[in-house]
Amino acid sequence: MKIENPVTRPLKAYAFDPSAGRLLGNEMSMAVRFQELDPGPVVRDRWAPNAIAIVDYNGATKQYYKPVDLDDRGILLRGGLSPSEADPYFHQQMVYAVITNTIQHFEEALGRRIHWRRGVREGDLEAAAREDIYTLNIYPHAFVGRNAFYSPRAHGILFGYFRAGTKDVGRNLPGQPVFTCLSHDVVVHETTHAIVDGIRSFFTEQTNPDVSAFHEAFADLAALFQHFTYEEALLDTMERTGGKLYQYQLRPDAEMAGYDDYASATPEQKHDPLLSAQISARNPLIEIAQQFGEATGKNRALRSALGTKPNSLDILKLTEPHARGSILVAAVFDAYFAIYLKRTADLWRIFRAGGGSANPVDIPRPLAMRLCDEARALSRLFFRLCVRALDYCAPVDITFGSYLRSIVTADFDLHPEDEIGIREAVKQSFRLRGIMPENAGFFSDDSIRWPRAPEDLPPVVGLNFGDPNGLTMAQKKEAAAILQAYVTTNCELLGFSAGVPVVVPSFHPVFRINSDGSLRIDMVVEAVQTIEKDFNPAAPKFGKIKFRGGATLIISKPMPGEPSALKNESQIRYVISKKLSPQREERQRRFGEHLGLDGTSDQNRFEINFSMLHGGI
Amino acid sequence: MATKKSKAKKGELRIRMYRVGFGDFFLMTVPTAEGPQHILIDCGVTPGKTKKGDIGSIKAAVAHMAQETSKTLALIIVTHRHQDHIIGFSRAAEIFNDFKVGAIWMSIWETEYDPNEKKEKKKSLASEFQDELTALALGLQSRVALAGKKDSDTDEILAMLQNATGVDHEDFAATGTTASAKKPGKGGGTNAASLAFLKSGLKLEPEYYTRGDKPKIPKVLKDAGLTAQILGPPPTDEIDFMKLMDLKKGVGQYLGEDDGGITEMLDPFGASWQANANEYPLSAFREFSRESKESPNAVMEAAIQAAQPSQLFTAAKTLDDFLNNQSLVVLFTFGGKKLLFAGDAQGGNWEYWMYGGTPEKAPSVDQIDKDSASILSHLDFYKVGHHGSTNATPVSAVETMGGDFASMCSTQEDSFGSEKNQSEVPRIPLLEALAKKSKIVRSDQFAITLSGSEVPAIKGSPTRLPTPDRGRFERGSIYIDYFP
Repeated sequence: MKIENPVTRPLKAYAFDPSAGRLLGNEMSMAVRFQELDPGPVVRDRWAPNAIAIVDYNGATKQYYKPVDLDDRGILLRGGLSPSEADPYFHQQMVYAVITNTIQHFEEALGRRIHWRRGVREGDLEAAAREDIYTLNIYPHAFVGRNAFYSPRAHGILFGYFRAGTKDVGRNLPGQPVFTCLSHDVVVHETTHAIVDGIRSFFTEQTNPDVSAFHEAFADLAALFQHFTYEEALLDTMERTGGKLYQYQLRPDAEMAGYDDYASATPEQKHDPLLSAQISARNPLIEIAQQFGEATGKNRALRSALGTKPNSLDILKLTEPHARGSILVAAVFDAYFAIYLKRTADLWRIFRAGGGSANPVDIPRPLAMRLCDEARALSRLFFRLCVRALDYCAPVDITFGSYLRSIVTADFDLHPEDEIGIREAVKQSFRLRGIMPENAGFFSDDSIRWPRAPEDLPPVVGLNFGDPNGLTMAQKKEAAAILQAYVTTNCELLGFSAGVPVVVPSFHPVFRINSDGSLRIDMVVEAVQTIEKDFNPAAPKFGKIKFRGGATLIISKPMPGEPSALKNESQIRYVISKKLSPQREERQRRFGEHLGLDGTSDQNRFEINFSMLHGGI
Repeated sequence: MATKKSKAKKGELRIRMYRVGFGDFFLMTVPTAEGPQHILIDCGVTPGKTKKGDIGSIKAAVAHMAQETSKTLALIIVTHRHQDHIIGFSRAAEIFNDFKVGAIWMSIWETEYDPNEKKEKKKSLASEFQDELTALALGLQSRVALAGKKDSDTDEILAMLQNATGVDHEDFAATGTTASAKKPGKGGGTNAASLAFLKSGLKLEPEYYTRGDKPKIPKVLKDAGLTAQILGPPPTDEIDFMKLMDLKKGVGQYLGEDDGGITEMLDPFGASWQANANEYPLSAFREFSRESKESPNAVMEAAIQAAQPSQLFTAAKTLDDFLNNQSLVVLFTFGGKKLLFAGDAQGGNWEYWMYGGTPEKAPSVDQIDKDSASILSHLDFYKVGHHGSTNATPVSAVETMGGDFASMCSTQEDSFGSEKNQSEVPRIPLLEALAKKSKIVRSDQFAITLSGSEVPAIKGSPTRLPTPDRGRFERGSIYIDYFP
């Protein structure tokens, strides 16, 4: 009798990174979706669109490390290898587990399976096909350096390792090796870059200061929201912050003491701990990559969820991608905590009514657990919203302002009532940071939301939406032909410039549950126009520049029984576009010049080079 | 060639470009009631990646200038602290020591003491920043030079660092010692000595300027009608300090104690964990089987090696950009003529004044500021920024410039960059674009004679000086003059 395969595979990983030790639920067990694996681990199903392969090749020493076999009995019986910095098998296991988990979170949020990058089909088709990534390769120890990055050319993610500094290295040993592949945050962050590159064909083209900042912010958001899914760590943090999850410091185990007369102690004395138990740790839940930050002498984590205070000037000043990105991260987390506080206000009132302090140091475990439930559910909601909003973004030239409009639209599409108040909170926190909805007339919901597609748009006839596991090859070909014909015929109605060909680089069927429990089936279609111009009309030798306009079409499958269903007609609900305009063209030129791209003629120079982004990671 | 007497008619404004190689050495002469008065703008040279940058003429040029000016300068302008702009001040110290100088202008980044601390002398934030930058450059230079790697990138890194520190790394690389900022390199002089001379050797407190400052023009020049506007550098705000932190973070691992290069080769796990490609299942390499059916693993290995981030190169480049962007950018006006000296200002510096000069404006999305556009469209003379290299003269600036001015580019071909990487200096398409707008003269296109032997013009040089729309060019023994 054959025993059925399990649904999940238990594996262990650090919830944060090795420097967090065993406290705070740092050594966690993960139930990772079950896949057939070869040693590496390598996902055996080569046709899985989301397959990954861990290949431990070290480019600095030019050698491989032995690959782990996760089906080894010793590993299976233990529920995965235990965390260890010295065991490369564990490193391979951890990157596999964390990446697979991240993929699963994204797929749940998107309502479809993801796939990796597809090369841009223009000009040299063979070269474009070589850029396709079918199996994303993961190199846990690819180079020596304080960096980790997604590299389309290497078809994967390269993790670096390095020696910690010799001074101010926090909880690290001076000079110890630090592995970026053991930082949960870094792994999720880089995986997110690869996933977004697969979802959108032109998102890595830097056409304005927000593009690379958006990539960094989005990857940080994914890593931060993942923190709230670690149950033990969440509960511990909840208790140590007295329910105030947004606090920077965790309460130390022991009160400050050790003075004969506390009242007359100087402020310095009061802040000078005498015991290690009096040292307060930083809140790992709202920070990114603590070990990396400390090992590089920053004396704190690499970045924080609340790294910028509400102000409308930063957005005008900061251009470094990570710094600018942290404005977006802070805006989202500001909204998250606003709703968390609103949703838990009743619990606090009950707590206080029962004699609880207004500003408690300790909270009872049942209260902590109820607060954790809220925090976790809400983080799931926010993560899904941020991810789904990607489907509501125009295919080119993303800005923070247009992302705000996409978030509001995506939320409205599924929760028209805004029972929880997410849209209001998001609008306020973005406004406080100077992120204004691009080209919207007012600050009301309906004017921030992308407008519905004009009613006179003809329906798309004969479109097959497939099933939640995707489309077959034949279905894909058929759908591609139908969509291509549609955008070509209705080019001007869709708002494209006449006379410039429109191509459809990607389309994805999406399956989601409406708030009333019914199934909604949509198709998200990217349509793009490209024109080539001299970067500098006065000096043609500086090469060409590609200006793109584009629209994302959201097409709904009619409900069975509707008249349109009988005719196999699907209506377009949204046309979210960035048109080819002289203003956008000029902005892209200026920005190219700002990046110093005006002096070369390399065709791919606008694509983000993740390895060279300042400060890495 | 005997030194010709200048053919300047009495009372003529003149800009002289000395041919020193890869570096700037300009002398501007202003007719005044007390006779011609001179302004020196930079005096330096650097050997560059190929070591061809320094043609060995700077001492002779300084001696020539001393004679021409009778060792009296109304004003010295030092745009920034790179070797190719300042080394001359210490290399020819014995000549400069006797100079009488009316005033010195330097970039705000050279401010030695905190101007807010009136009572005691306290090192300014900018000066601490410069010290850190120099220490960083010196540390990197030592590490890279001692590692002894030989390739084009390494040469370029070392050349950029040498320009920043003024230290000749070949000396200490040969003896295995670490670098010292004090030891003079080939040809003599150090950046440190030049800066010390400029800041305190002339018994004259330099003025430190940033965009928008009203410069104190020496009386004799002011009376003659000379005005000046400071366009760059941008004020020192904390953003730049933040970038320094990033820079240090990025290369920190190369700056630790000398570990004989083991960091670069650090193998964290030991021999028992090492494996060959054939210990992996075939499926591990399937992603690269489209490129090679036989040995996909070799394709993958090559891809990983090619993707190794060259942090040192990025760091050296960032450091170089930092210093260039500190450049003091001065616009002189005399008798209705507008003369722009841009030092080595790059993107950030130009952008700041071209787009309105306020940090509150997000760069790159605005139209060029009206005043800046007016300046650019009415130029009479432009000192080509950064020896004609990429990005030192933004495309939008060239677009905005008028069409009938003269420009001078002090440079030496094949000192830095490569045409293959589109990083050659001077950058040919840039000069072509400028040549459409102006009559341009390059210092390396005219031969000079130096103690009996000739430093030839580069290949393909024009045989005659161009004729500008206004004014005229004239050729001298080791210089070229422009009379606006």
